[in-house]
Amino acid sequence: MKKVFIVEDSSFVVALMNSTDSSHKRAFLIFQKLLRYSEKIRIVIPTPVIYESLFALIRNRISVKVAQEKLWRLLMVRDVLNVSILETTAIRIAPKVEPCILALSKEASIPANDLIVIAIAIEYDNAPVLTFDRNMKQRFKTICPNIFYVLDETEEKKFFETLDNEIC
Amino acid sequence: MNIKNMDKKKNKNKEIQKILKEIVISKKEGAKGDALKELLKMRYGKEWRNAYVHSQV
Repeated sequence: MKKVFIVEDSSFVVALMNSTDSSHKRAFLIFQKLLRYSEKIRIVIPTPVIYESLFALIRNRISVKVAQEKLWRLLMVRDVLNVSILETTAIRIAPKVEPCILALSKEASIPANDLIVIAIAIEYDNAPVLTFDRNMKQRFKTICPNIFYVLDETEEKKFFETLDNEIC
Repeated sequence: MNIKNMDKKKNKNKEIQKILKEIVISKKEGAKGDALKELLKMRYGKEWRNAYVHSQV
């Protein structure tokens, strides 16, 4: 059976892991729903997401030991796939991200991690990206149509409709 | 739904709850503040507020 890939951005991962986040409940419910799709999906967590999430948790004054242990547990979940980035990926995806980089004004910042997460989603058959970063969709929608800002209820509904359609 | 399927569903739910418990940092384990806010500050510096929405859910 073909599995549907879903990419999780660091903004979603940290909200899921830190139980006092204002967005934690939403991330928790979405992740719980995803786990019920087990065997039909794979949750893709690119390596930069692991770095960024770990650093954000530490910056939020969570002990390194706890952050390491919890992230490790997340990566050990059967439905989670850790995708590392090879140099060849960068070379291959460059033509796809070029229009987006050039479209943004020279003054605008483009966090490299965001761009790598998007590039991985493109690599994985335009996999949907789940994010709690409001800027992400706006910045990258031209090159990656499946970015879902799932803090918004309508977007969440749209994501699960898309997922159900892909699975059926 | 037969008993076998009900048991399967029950086990699945148990497994999901176990996973969630293992990956979520509870208050007891040191969860505090809003890590999403910290992440967005790392990403955007002073412009982090443009990317952040305080969830009401």
